[in-house]
Amino acid sequence: MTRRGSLHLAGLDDVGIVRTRHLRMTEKVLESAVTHGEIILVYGDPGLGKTLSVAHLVEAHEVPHLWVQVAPKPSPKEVVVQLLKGIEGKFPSRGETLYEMSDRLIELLDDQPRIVVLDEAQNFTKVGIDQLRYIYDRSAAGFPLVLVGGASTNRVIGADPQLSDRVAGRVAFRPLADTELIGVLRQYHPYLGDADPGLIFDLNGKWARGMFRRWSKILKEGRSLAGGAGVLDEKTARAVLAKIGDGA
Amino acid sequence: MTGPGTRLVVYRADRRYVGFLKQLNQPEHGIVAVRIRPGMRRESWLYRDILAAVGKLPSVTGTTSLTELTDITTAAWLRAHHITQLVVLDAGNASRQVLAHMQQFADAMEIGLWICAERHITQAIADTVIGRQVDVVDQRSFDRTFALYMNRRPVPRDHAADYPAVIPFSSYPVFIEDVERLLTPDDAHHVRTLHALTYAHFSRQLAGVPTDDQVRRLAHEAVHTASTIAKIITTVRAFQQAAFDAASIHVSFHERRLAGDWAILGRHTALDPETWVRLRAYRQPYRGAAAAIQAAGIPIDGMHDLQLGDVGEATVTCGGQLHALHPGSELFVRALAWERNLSGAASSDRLFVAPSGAPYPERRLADAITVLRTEIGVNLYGHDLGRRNPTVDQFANKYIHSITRLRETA
Repeated sequence: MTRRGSLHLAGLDDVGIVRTRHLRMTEKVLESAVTHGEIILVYGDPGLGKTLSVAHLVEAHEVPHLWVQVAPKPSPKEVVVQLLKGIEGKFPSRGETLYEMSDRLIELLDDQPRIVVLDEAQNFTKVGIDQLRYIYDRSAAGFPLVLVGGASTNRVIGADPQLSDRVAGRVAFRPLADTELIGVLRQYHPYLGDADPGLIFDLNGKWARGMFRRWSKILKEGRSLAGGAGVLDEKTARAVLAKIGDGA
Repeated sequence: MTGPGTRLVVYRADRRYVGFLKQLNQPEHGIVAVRIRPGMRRESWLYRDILAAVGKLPSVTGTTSLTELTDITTAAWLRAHHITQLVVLDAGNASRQVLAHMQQFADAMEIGLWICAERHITQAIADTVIGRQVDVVDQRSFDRTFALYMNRRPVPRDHAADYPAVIPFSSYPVFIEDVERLLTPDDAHHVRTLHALTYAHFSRQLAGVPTDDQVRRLAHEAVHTASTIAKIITTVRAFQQAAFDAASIHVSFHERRLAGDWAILGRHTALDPETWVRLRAYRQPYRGAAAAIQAAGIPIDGMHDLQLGDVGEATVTCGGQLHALHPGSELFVRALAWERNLSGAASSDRLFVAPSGAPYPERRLADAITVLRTEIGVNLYGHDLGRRNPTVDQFANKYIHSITRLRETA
């Protein structure tokens, strides 16, 4: 099962993918993970573009991928069932034991190379991690496993030294630095890229705080409020903040 | 360091070390390595994993209930495979009960037990080893001990059983194309290899202007040596392609009749190593043993009355006559004999008795052989031992539809 839906916010179909520093780092560790069958970890606060970056990279990759959303505190059986459902497109039969399902899953993962992406990996608990590690360790060649999650993911995985020892690469997503903000927005969309830099820094300081998702919202709402104006101006920026800026 | 006894190892594993641990399972060198599943509470799970480590497929059970699988069956297979070391990885996942059971099992088997825990010793492990004679081995010594095995000349992996059981029936001009399209790359590779070898062989044999009799004889030879339906189809397609390319002859077979009658054609099955590798998938030793003994020329009724004392290292004595077992098939008879031995049977007791103590009826022994055809694609011709192979003429009349010379018709 691949990831469903557009990578961008609804209404932003005309924007492209910006090859940010974090996306390039993710690309590098993902390539190594695919080549060597490694586990990698991509984590950071919400809205920094982790999911978008990983989704873009695995969708463009020649190796097929499996995208699974991790439920809160998944049991070992849930981990296996979700992965099997992702591969086979249906739930396993009711009579199948965890033992049988695990063996079948390992066979399927060995049969066809896949990039396995587990999103919201911060939801894992010890028992789920143990099951995941067991499946990874049993797989004949190892498979590329991408754990994507919030800032706490590194702590959750780190709390399990056995899995943590097997993580070959980590990418920590952080907010866009001031030094890269204007350059990134210019690549993102001229509506923001051609705006007055002073206005951009002002908006960033007040609300956006280097978070890509917030800049996407500003782009979407700004264009909608301005009725098609080519560049973000101060008046529209104020209106946008009044609408979505949480009082900023 | 590789004799009987218990050793405790605490290791750390990164991705590379996990790769090392995956290679530890080497039954051909007397080592079985299993990984304890998270939350494992019952020893029967571990027995299944040990049996899987020596090649028993959990998905192949025949028609027999899994409740027949006991520690005795597991021990019998380990003895039959000459296993001397049992490595239990991720022992931290095991309950106290499972570990204690493993300890007793290894002691009774007089094999080395390696309890390997990642990073730390759990309370269950501590409780298991306290008060016992246990050697604590550091990771480096553990690696060195098993690296010795790994550095030995590797036993060539037997690829015979990797041949796919189901392949396309497509006609010869598009056969390889369909194989590439429909099978996995590994399966397609096996089919392509056999096809290429057969094609090369018969291209040489058919070069020039062979007579119809020669074509019939070679077709008979081609089919006669194949041991499974999939191999017969591959061989026939390669033969047709070779005849077309080397002699411009189109040979048309009654293919479905050929596949259907394969029971009386696959006379080489018992001689094919693939047969015995495939049979290792069964966990119940009596299944492989029944097939091995029948292939050695002993009928079902004779098999039913065999005694434990009739079994030798590679022979079985029936009615005062010594029957040699086919190479590769001795393993199954050895495992059954060990199963009986470990159950306390005397040499005058029957050989074919279930671990529960009930003798296997003749019908069940016959079924164990006939079911091989549908379950694992191996035909040991069931009750048809007495049937003869068809002659070249019989073969040609029944299975060759036509031989058309394309040059003459052009």
